[in-house]
Amino acid sequence: MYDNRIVRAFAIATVVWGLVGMAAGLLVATQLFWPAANLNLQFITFGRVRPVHTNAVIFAFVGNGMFMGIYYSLQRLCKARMFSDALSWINFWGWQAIIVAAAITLPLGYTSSKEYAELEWPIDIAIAVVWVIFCVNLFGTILKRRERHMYVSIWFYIATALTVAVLHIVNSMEVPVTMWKSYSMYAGVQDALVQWWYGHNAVAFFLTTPYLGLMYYFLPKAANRPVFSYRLSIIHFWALIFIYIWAGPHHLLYTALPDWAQSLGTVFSIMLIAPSWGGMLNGLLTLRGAWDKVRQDPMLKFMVVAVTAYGMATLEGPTLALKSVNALAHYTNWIVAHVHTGALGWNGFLTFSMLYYLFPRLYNTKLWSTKLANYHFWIALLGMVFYVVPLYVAGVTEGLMWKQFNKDGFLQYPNFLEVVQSILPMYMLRAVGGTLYISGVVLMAFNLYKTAKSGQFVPDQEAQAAPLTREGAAGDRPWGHRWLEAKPLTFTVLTVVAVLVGGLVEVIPMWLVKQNVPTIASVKPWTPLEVLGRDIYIREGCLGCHSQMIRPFRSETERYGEYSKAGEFVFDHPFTWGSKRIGPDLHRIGGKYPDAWHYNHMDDPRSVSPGSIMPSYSWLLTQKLDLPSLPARLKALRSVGVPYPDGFENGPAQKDLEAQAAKIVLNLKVGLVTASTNREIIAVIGYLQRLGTDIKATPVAPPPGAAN
Amino acid sequence: MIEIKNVLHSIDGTSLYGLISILLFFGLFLGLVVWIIRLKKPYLNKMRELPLDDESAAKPGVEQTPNPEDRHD
Repeated sequence: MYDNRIVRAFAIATVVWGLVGMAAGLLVATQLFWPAANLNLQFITFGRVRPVHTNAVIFAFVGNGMFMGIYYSLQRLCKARMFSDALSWINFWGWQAIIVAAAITLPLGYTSSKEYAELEWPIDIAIAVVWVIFCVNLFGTILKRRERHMYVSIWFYIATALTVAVLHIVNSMEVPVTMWKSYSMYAGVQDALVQWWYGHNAVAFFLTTPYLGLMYYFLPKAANRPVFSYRLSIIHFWALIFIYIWAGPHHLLYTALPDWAQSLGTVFSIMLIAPSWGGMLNGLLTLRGAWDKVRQDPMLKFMVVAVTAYGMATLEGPTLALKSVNALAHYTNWIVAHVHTGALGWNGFLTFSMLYYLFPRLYNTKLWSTKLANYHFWIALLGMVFYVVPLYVAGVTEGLMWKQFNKDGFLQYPNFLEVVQSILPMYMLRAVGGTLYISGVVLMAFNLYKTAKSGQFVPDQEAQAAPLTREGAAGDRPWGHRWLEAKPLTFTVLTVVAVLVGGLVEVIPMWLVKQNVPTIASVKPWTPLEVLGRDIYIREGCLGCHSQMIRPFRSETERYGEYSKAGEFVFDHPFTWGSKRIGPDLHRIGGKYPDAWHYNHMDDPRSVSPGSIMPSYSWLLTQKLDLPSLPARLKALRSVGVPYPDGFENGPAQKDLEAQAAKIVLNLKVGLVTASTNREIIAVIGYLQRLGTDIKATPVAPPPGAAN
Repeated sequence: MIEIKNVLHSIDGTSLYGLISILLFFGLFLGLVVWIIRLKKPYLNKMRELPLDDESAAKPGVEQTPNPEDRHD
């Protein structure tokens, strides 16, 4: 008997969290052209809500969608009920609990700042536990299957389960400081590489491989056609899971990452076109002779666009991974457009397709309104276009404006705000697109609800298959992939090997070969005040808008200062290079403006920067510094390799902090600002004024007793 | 707590590693392609049909008989 209850649970969660995640997206999109939408409330500023949006749509919407589809298809492909109903429900409730924890902790500022891995260490542990439970349930079901051969979807589910586990564990290596704060074990450029090995493979193995597996099940089922080429599915599966892992460095082109790693990222990203398009073609060609069905069935309409969007995104991605294209596109809205082609088109549409397929079957009825589903399709498609196209325009515009020199050899647009202002209309159009897209989801939710009401839920479905007999009859001994498909554990081991190679080759030299991270003598650890300031920078999500990585282009060195070197980040746990320039790069902001400018800017950005879209951060002026946590922070940083002297945190650090804070307060007085030394703004100013200044300093002999 | 120490100052012989890698990669890829080409049609057809042949009940308005003209590899 197939368990449909668990599928229904995940399906409902998918729709609910889809609405929540997209609403968060709409909020942040609005805040970009209407800063008042931050409401001067620290909990809903752009920097804090952006990760709510990304985590909700990736882990809550796609995550639940993935579980929904896997739990449905796996049982039917294995001709067996899930291994354990108890584990199914722990998987479900555990996952929802994690999502709720994310929704609460992220607005509170409990974040690691590492993209798509923002959740702090207690939740990271919960994710690992729930994921292991999912893996046990998955493999348990495969082992008790009554269909000997594993269909292609199951290979993708196995690859997903294993690789996500590896990615999560390696990237989440962090040392706890307090209940809700931790520091990455890695620093600077090494952290950047591990983060983007993880980040790109979160795309690969959370957003792509499970959905490819689902496509291989639901598309043939809906079209009532077998997949176009089984041979193609074998070759593109192995090629995809091997090649994808290496592509991570394409997020770090023209940064301080060593050149050899950047090149590997680019080359493997280009190679990735082949297996990705293999999947797309296999899907689309399955519909040969069945295109008339697409005209009638909304589920198939969504599926076709999903697979097409997958093809688009997997051509665009490798193109963006070419250094010459990346030089223009990095940090711009083009990247956001690219992400959303995949997210709205591939993940969104495929999820909708599955939902429209499943609900009638779960409730043993017909879809309540095919017309409404068709409206959803066209509105969602329009929404996608209005989302992606304005951001292409915005991305290319800002990229070109940043690079433009006038005939005298100076920057044409030296004021960053000029660029921001010129793309505001595009931000507005994007919000229109997002509104259309979420409206479509509302229509779908209503349609599915009415479908459920009009039907009769089928909690368990009959499964008819003879138990497996031991294969060992004389004569026909299978070999090659056919043999492999009957041996799930061997298959699993080989998948793990395929997936680990890329990561090991790229990451191990970064850890073990000194030449990859040249140190700079004048670069010293953050002072205690700056540690607190940096942690506030992370808490507020400043990384969401500001990068700290100046590329070696004249347009950047003219605008920001000397380009960023790997050795400047060796004490940064975690790294804070950022990925987007909604606001300007901050790596060399130190010393550019007086302390009072920063004070006024945080209080009301528009008072010193007319036309700025940055939210106000006036609570920094009044909130007190978390001084009692200082010893724990310094101890934790020392444990991951920052050379603070022994006993530093038991007195000397506090004195150092007071002295530095007092200096800043004096500077503020000169700027006609009165402040006390124990406010958060003092630490933030201290941190900002230190940024990027170390390489300008002449090396000074360290004080006696320092562990340097 | 673990501190990741730099074991080597620099790394030599990268061109040899690169050569070994490309040969290994290409060899394995070719091997896989050969295996795939040698797979037999009846087996492939059976595998392709797997999602279509489940005898589960409650299939509203969807015909289950696969079209025999769709054998293709």
